[in-house]
Amino acid sequence: MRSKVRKPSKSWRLWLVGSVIGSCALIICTRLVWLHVFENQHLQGIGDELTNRHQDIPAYRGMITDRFGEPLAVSTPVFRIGVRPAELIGTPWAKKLAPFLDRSPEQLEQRVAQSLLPYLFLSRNVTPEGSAKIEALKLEGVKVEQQFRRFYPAGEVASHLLGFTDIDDEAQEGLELSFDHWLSGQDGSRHVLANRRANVVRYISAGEEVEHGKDLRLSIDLRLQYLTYRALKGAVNRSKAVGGSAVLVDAWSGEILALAAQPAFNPNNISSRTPDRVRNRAVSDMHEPGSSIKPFTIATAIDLGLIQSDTQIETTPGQFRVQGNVISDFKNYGLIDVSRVLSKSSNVGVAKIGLMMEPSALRDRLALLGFGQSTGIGFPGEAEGSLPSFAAWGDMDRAALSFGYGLNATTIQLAQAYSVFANAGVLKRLTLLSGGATPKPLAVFKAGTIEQVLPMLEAVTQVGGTATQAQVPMYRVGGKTGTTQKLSAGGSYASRQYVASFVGIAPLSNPRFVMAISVDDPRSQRYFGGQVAAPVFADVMDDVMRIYDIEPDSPKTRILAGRIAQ
Amino acid sequence: MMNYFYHPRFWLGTTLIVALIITSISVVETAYTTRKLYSALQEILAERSRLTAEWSRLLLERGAVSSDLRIDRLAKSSLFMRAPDLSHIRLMERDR
Repeated sequence: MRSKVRKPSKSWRLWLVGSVIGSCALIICTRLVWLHVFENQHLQGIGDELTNRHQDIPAYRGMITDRFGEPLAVSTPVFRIGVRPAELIGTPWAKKLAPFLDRSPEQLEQRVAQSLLPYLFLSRNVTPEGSAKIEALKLEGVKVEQQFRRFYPAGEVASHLLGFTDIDDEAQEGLELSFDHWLSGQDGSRHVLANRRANVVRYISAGEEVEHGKDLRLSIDLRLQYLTYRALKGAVNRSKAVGGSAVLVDAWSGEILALAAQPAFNPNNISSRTPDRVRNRAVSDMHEPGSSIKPFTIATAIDLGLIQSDTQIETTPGQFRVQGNVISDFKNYGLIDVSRVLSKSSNVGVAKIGLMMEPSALRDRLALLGFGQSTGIGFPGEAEGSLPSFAAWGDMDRAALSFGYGLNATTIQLAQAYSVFANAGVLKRLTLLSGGATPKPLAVFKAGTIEQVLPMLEAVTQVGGTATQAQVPMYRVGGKTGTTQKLSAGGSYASRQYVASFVGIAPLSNPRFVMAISVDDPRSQRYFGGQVAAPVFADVMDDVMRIYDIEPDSPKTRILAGRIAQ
Repeated sequence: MMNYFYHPRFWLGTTLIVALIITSISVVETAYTTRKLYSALQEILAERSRLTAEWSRLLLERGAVSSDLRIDRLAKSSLFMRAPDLSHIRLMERDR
């Protein structure tokens, strides 16, 4: 057993080890301080750039549907293929890409060669499946981007109503434009950590919340919209007219069930959008309504207690001189009652009734009916029309107004005004939204007045009237035709240019549906409102009665009624 | 030494240290859960957006297949359907 005694170490070795360790620690500390204090921001920036990504979350544009939820405008994601020509040189990109883009490699190469842009899109309409395949190719200089494209399943049928969006899904026309704030959402963003190949490794935080656009439910009934479109198109083609428009309204609620114009365009196809086709004639074209105003003239006179439906009016000799102007009828109708004045559309008779009233009485009623003002449906480019106003009314001005000249109105204004006949004299403002709020209804005529005018409107569609072609089998209908000469550019009446119109209501025993039709410049032999526009009414109303399950109210139908044989 | 255990300060200090450890672990835990849940949320949102996209395409397809224009044409051309004319319609009195 021996014990070992430790020799005390030499002090210089301790110092050496101590100072080496100490200087190492000092170097590390200095470096740490250097990095953290002096280069912090710079390094943080580099790190963030490599890993931190801001991703945009695109917002959906809301859907537009009809009153039953049938889609009329839907946004769906499509993908666009962008390329950087500078990065493509020397790679076989065209050969690989061509099968997915429906074009030959040569076409693609030519397209890129011709362009001077640093970045261009080869296709803007690639399906998600196709885009996934292209992404899988991992081509240098080729980028797949998502965007939204708007589709219109109803195509031409509802084209004017909806309008369209441009290539970047920005609203351009129609309801797309007027309800853009409602339909378009707010793009969101989020913060992610990504690895070097830009794959998301971890979601860090939400940036801005994405706000998708809201859906818009219209008052339109797509079935009736289609029937209206088809009937109007047929009428415009048959009469070789320049254009036309039709509006169908549920007068009880003020909801517009169908609104069509001709010529139309295909909203899914950019090349069919010429300004002439895109214009919604139902709201932006105005013309003198002519005879369609006569029921209001008569209703005003009855309302003021000046005439009754059986009051006799002398129209002989079929001409009437006012302030040097001659007002004439189609022929001499002789001594006729007010009802015949309307069913024969006698200008002389109506002018005489118009002159019985206070100078501005009719004008004031027409203003209450909404003429000369916007309807408030909020359609872009809506025409307000015009209503004359004079400090001193001349007799000719009053006479002209009584048979619908001197004022300008759109088809939709006519439909709105005629809703008083379905609402016992109360004017219901129109809306394009399902269950849409409308301003307070306004009583324009007494209910008793409307009761007297309705049979007159029915007489117009019966034998001896001007609109027998408006008849709907098994139902009682009423209405009024109009055939007005168009004003030429110079301000005089064009001799052979007309606007044929018809405004009708059905069923007459319990009026609910109002339809106004205008056909612009029919070039065929038949150009009267009763020949051109009234058949559109009959055509559509027949189906409206069936689709809305309205009980037949024609007395002739009752005779047919029986029980089904067992 | 025994004295030390009975000193209230000792216990206060120990409790605070334990509390500190527990809270710091829970902070880490919460941060982790948050990221996990946020990531799950993002996946669900991505799934929703994928389904919305598919739904919109199906809507369009249905719209195209069931368009009145197409049904009208098919009914007339391949099924030879037409609206009955008046002579073929008989109305029944509604039972009242």
